Amino acid sequence: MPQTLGLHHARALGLLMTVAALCVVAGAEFVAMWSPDTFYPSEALAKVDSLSTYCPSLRGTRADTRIFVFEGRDPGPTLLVLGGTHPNEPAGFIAATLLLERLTIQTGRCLIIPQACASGFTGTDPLEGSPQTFSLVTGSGTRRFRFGGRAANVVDQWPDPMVYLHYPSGQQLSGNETRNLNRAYPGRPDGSLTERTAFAIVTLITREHVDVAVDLHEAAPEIPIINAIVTHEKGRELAANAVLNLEFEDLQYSLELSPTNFRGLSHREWGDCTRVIPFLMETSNPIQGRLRGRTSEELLVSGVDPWYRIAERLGTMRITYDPGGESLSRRVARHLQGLRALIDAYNEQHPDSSFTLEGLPAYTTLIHEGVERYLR
Amino acid sequence: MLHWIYIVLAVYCAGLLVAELFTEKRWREQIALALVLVPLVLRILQVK
Repeated sequence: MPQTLGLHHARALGLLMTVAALCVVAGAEFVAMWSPDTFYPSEALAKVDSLSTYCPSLRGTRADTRIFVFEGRDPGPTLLVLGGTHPNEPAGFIAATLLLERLTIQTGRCLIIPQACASGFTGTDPLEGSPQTFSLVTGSGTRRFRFGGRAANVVDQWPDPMVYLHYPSGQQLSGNETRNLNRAYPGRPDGSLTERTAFAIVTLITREHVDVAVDLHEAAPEIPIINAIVTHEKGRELAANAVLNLEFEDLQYSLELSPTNFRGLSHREWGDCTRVIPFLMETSNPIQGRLRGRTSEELLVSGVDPWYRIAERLGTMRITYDPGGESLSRRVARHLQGLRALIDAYNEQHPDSSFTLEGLPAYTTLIHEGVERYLR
Repeated sequence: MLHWIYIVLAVYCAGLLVAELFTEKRWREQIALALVLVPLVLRILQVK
């Protein structure tokens, strides 16, 4: 008896067409995340370079990212600022963006990489319910910025091993950390995409004779290292001076020393492998926390979360959360004020070779007027 | 290399799912098969 098409065959065909339609709709959303964000650098911009200059095998990959180079009239030290090492920590990325759009510089050089882990900006973390983008109304209209995942996109680096072995120490971490840029330093030129990105940054630090490097991060309010400046042994005195000066301004930053046995982090490996004095700064960001409520664009920008308010009031956990909210403006202001304090401390130690970065809003002004007021 | 081995595995699994979709007669099972197919197709296309 010849086989005829049954009802279940017709249903299978219909379902296949539905699958195709779902793939087109979902795929279009994912592909939209591949478009790079737009920046409007200040007049002090000397040139725009790319990370692949320092590791050619990154060219053409989604890990290649822009480096904005600002140069003063007079020679001086070189500062490197990294945002977006973790693309789900928007204050670091926006602080770097504000810096590159407002900066004026008299002496020295400033290199800014606003999206250090560019691949991570092309996708969000699974099961987090994160928004893909967030909007800020600036003077030039509504600007949309991507909100990515913590690490490089699995589409660019896949599969993850069961155990991540850090190169060269052999330290063992969970397999998904293989895509975490801040566990990959110093990296290697023939390694994974993340290791090559880390290698390019370390090569840049060496080749460009960077004197001070700052990596801007955020963390959940319940994480102990929050509102903090983390530094390598060689930056201890400088960071202590900066924290003291910030205390005089009524701003509390804790000073943390980079552990010598936790490998792969910027503040450890940059300091060990190069001549740079490295720092990492953290702010308190409720959208990353486990206690958070609705994971929305509003929470990302306002930082107001009712569940963190309750947790803070109950006092059963060590939580660094302001009941008024940890707004994006406030978190960006903390990063910029911390950066300013580090530069001032460096200048005190090096009066013959100092930075003069200007054009940035004061801490309270930035909070009151909002970060969007200072983005172009 | 491992990346491409995984892509080949994903193509193989997707092929099995499509074959099963056409032999399966219970509509609930067919819907479940179609749902599993979506992420596999997106991964094969290297979109997600």
